[in-house]
Amino acid sequence: MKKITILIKGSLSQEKKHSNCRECQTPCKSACKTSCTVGNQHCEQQQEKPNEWMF
Amino acid sequence: MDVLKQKPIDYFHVFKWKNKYFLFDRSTHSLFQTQEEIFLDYTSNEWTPNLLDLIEEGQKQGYFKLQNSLLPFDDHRCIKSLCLMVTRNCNFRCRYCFETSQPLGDNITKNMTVETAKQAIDWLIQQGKDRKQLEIDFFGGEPLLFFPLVKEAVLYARAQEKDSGKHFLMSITSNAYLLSPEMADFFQEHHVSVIFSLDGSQKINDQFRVDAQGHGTYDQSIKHILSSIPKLSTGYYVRGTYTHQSLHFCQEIQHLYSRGIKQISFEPVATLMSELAIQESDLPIIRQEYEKLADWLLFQTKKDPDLHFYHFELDLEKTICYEKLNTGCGAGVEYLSLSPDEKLYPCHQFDGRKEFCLGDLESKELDSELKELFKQKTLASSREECRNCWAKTLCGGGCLANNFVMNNSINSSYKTGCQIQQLRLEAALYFQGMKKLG
Repeated sequence: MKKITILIKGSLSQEKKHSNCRECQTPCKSACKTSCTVGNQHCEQQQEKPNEWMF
Repeated sequence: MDVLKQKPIDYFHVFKWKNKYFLFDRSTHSLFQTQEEIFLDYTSNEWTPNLLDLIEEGQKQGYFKLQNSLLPFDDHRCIKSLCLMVTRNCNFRCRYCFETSQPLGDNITKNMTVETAKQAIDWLIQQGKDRKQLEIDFFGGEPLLFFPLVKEAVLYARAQEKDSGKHFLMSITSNAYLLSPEMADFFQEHHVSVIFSLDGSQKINDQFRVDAQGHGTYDQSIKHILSSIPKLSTGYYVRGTYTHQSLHFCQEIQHLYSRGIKQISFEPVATLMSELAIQESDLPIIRQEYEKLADWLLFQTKKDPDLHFYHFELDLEKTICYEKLNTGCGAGVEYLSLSPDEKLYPCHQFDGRKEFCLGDLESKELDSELKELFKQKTLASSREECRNCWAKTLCGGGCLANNFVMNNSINSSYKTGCQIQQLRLEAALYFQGMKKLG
């Protein structure tokens, strides 16, 4: 595209499979503890092996 | 064109960071590098020929879709995560602590019993319905004051996994002052993540984090953290707090790294204490700090890939689903905090606030009005400030407890907190983008 160059192709889609399974970590349980962020949470459905650690 | 009914910010966010220009597509979470003229057009938030060309071409390639409103969606959220407030006692008297800022009175129960902890685990298994992954965090006060309880509760939870078909993710938040090698061994063996609180160098840490006699705590805490890290491997984070009086957090993070700490998280304080509260006038300094930090991390992580700054770890290529991104905060809906006297609150930061008590472990039904309120308020779209924010699906709608602390209401966002979040997310996108550029 003119005037923009892609650096990272994001995977967000409103029609994603396994959407809303709610198995992923609750953000406020993370290493930040006092303010929620979701951008760095991981989808459990896309993990190669089950999560053992909670961050 | 339909796009003319909207504003450019409804589709993407363009920002400048360190003389480079980036464009973040809200609909796919894709990140682009762009040019100054696009940035200048975007800052007017009006459509220009440049921006119209861009969106037309991008939409043909699958980018820049308008995000639909989340509602209606199948809201089957249930409680799957519990904070056990093991004790309200603490061996520290941190100046910014939210636990000590609440007038709880002298007659409250300060310590949890083992029976309550076990009952809570059974209760969580029931509440978790068909969720496989449940979460428990041991919090306080200082939970290591009651390590035998923590140990027994961890073993009990692990013992319930097979029969219940659940898997527990567990963590503990501690100041490390009482941490022994045996405790670290136990946490590693039973996969309990440890979040240590430490604010950086001795000078800064001891300015805020003191013991009951007012003495600094750095020496003892860092000694225990450093001796436990080889045992804990990747199962730890060191979490610092910055305040109005300690805004230069980049050097504090560098200090922690110089001591051998490689997994670091740093958060702004949320407090009404005027001498410590972050002010809007602090934002330029905070931006400079994130700039310095991003560049230092870009340089350092090339040499040491084990170095992680939690808030920059955005994974745009494996993002979580749209519904979760729009319902980030779990408070009162997926996540509750249990006090030592068996009362349930929406999260650890609401502990002891009677107006937010949802019930107790014996309640047949939790307070339905409060539950519904939190169900609504944890939707990012429930607040006007979030609906139009470019960062909504990276932030998830922010922290209701911080809103309450700063605005005395969970209904409106804590404005300075949002501004810091946006800065930090831009820095994180810059960091991720620059990593791709090499």
